[in-house]
Amino acid sequence: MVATVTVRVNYGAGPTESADVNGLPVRLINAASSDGRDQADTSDPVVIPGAGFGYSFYKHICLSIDGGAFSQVDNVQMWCDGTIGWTLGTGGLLLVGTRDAGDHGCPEASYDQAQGDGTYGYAIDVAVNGHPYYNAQTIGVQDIENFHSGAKMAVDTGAHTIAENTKGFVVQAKVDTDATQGEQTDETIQISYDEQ
Amino acid sequence: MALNYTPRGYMWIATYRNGQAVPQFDPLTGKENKFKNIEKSDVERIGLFPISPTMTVKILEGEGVLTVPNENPIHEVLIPQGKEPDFWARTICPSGQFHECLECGYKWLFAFGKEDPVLTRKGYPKHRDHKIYCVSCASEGKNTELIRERRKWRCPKVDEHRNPAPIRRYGVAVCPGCGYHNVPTDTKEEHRIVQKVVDMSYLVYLIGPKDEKLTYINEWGEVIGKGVV
Repeated sequence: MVATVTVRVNYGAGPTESADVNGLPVRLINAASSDGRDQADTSDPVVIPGAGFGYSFYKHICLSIDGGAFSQVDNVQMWCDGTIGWTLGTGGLLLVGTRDAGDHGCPEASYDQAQGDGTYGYAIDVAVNGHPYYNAQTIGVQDIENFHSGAKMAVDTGAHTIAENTKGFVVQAKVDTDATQGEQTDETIQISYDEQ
Repeated sequence: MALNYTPRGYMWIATYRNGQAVPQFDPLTGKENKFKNIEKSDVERIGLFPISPTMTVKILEGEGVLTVPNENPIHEVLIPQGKEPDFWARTICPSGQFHECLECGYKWLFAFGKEDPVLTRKGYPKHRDHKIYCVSCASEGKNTELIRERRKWRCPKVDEHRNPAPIRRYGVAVCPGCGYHNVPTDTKEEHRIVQKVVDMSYLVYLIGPKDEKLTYINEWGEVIGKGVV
């Protein structure tokens, strides 16, 4: 009847799973070793590039079906308000990994630890060192603003009948040379799921 | 400790064509009948019924699940011959934020985003130009900082705040009430017109014939639209 469901960030090797982040900010930073939940921790900021683009380390965010009495959980969707008000520069975006067909969410088995070159994180869709679940796609990333209440992103359409994680969406900040330094305002990503 | 689920206020009852019915929860034991186990091809009506205080206790005893007793309206949908019923409970987290207008004190749920056929309706205003507005008095707030600057001023001659704002004559503020010059207007303060109160999750029930548009009903028993799953 009621599944107990939480929102988790997967990060680091393994991966490590965060505590519930539903309704809480998650920082996109320049390290893979943190779930980004500590708002007081301003270490590892995303670097504004001198030329080209810089990237944060990408983060996997998924639903965790922790338990409860339910028959099925499915139809996980994600969307934002259609406007990310961050000052990431001219070509700066909040990116989300996408697939050419099927669900856009990344299965738990395809989790990939974000890594960087020492200055920036690797882009999700870059051929070498990018996210293997997305970097061979024709369109491996999209502006998250493309997914709003009128066009929600299909994260996971599969049926979950046991306590487990759903597929997760993978997000990353892309920063241009004219980005404004500093902490950005909170943006809200919404997630929905259906349950019987 | 948080529940990690949104307590429900409705239970479904499936009525067969022979007049018998299967409730989601057994009225005697509170134990749940799974929707997947009902004889769907025989169902004539699928309905949402508000959970009574008695049923809340039964369900808590039978399933250990918290529900919310209420007197919301009943919603039933006829299932055409040859069709099967469908039922889903959609959780949206967080679906929006309760906001409070500090001008008039009105609180309401603000749904994020562009126009949503389900959530954006009277009482759940969409924002315009990235600003939100009080649905009661139409005061305006910025979506990002929710702050509006306002100049407060006090007329020293009558020693009270005056409204409307002072007129300016030769660059000097003048109280429109008493004509007193040099009304201090430098007490500029940031004034939150609309503030976020709390993020919250939100439940929508979807019922109707399978593979057709389902009726969307919110937690308060309002039909808020139709759509495919």
